[in-house]
Amino acid sequence: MSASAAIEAGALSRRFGLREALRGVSLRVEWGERVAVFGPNGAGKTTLVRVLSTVLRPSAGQLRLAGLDPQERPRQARALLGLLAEGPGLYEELSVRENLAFFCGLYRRQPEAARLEALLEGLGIGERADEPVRALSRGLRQRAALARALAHAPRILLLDEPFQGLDREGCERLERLLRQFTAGGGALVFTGHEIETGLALATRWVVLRQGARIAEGTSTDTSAETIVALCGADR
Amino acid sequence: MRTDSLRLPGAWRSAWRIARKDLRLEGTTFERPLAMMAFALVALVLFGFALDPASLKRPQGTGTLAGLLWLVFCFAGLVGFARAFHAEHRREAWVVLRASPAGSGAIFVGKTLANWLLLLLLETLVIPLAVIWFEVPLPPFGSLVVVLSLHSLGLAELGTLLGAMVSRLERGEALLATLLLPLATPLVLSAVHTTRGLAEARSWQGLGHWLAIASGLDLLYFLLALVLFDFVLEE
Repeated sequence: MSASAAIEAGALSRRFGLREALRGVSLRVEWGERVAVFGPNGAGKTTLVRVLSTVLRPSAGQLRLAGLDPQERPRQARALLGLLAEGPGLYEELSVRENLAFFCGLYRRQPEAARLEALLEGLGIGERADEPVRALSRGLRQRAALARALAHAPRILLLDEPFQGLDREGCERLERLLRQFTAGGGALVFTGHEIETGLALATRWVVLRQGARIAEGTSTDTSAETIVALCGADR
Repeated sequence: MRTDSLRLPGAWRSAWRIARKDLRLEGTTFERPLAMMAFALVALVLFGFALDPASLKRPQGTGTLAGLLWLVFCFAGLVGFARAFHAEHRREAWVVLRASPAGSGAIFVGKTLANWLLLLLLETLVIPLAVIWFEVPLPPFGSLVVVLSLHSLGLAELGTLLGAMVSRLERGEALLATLLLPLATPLVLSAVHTTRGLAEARSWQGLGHWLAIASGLDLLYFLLALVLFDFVLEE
């Protein structure tokens, strides 16, 4: 592993017309870290994930992923990323396995079949993996989407509301997988409104409000009530 | 982080993978091929009733028939291009696709390839029907394939670029026709002239400059799309 941090974001801003969705957000994520991004609706969490995942260009600020500038070396930078967007990002007519094979093929010349099987089993969707995505419940789609985000063995994982729609068992499986992921040296940034679950998983947290970072801290010395208070009533 | 050790697939391989996925989706739902074919058949039947079939068999009639056929291909293509990005937008698959190392160029080429093959399939079905319905001779097969491929490629390139632009807009389908038809006019002119020339003279004589124009337009649309597509994909 190099000396570069997994993510180095400096004063990132993003405008949509006149509206500034992200205002000078800086974030440094080290390898092995799990960073939770909390905030009320419209705080800029999804925009931050999209800018970090290079889906959106920042209007201002700098971004480096594993020391790479995504503007200069987009393919290499993107190859390091695993992304869970707001939606599952799956093709509904294809089976889970076909979706994974397709997306994996965009990252690697040879998708690793054994890895994919282990991942599907780990998320508890191995038995349903040959069914079209449209036949799955919301929770199972979310598990399939998480499998898709992890399937190509990314080094940096960006998850927008990963616990949404998951039952208790699904949450536990996901938490286990994400801990394994960072224990192996990967870096994780995730957003969410499930503050207790998020705090239990994260090593560090950040709170956004109105596109700006208003607070940050480590999970060990922070209570869920503190985060709720920072997020405001509409979290 | 040793990014060079990641064996990323090349742009052409990614493009082919995206095209194969699109064709697999079409083969599952038949949504676009059926909509395009239904439009083309209805248009042919209407033209058949509106025009005197005897007039189409006269020497001046070949131009009319060539024009009608290319109008049918253009409008049937519009039906298909307008829905080319529906699968991506339905569950945010475009976000995941954009965050992958495939790159906007490969996404454009892959989507164009799928649109092109769908258009060629439509033409393969419609032309024999038109030949039977209007009782006109089929132009030389090899030459016809070249003319159809060359002009359909340009249509598919424009359709993919503009289809992506309007896919996130309300009433985007109406806007697609407004944008595509003026831009495709020189290509359609070339298509009509070469198809008529082939039907009348049954040789390439005097058609060289039209083929050069079509090839130039294909290249122009391709280069234009490569420059613009990354911006088009961004919100």
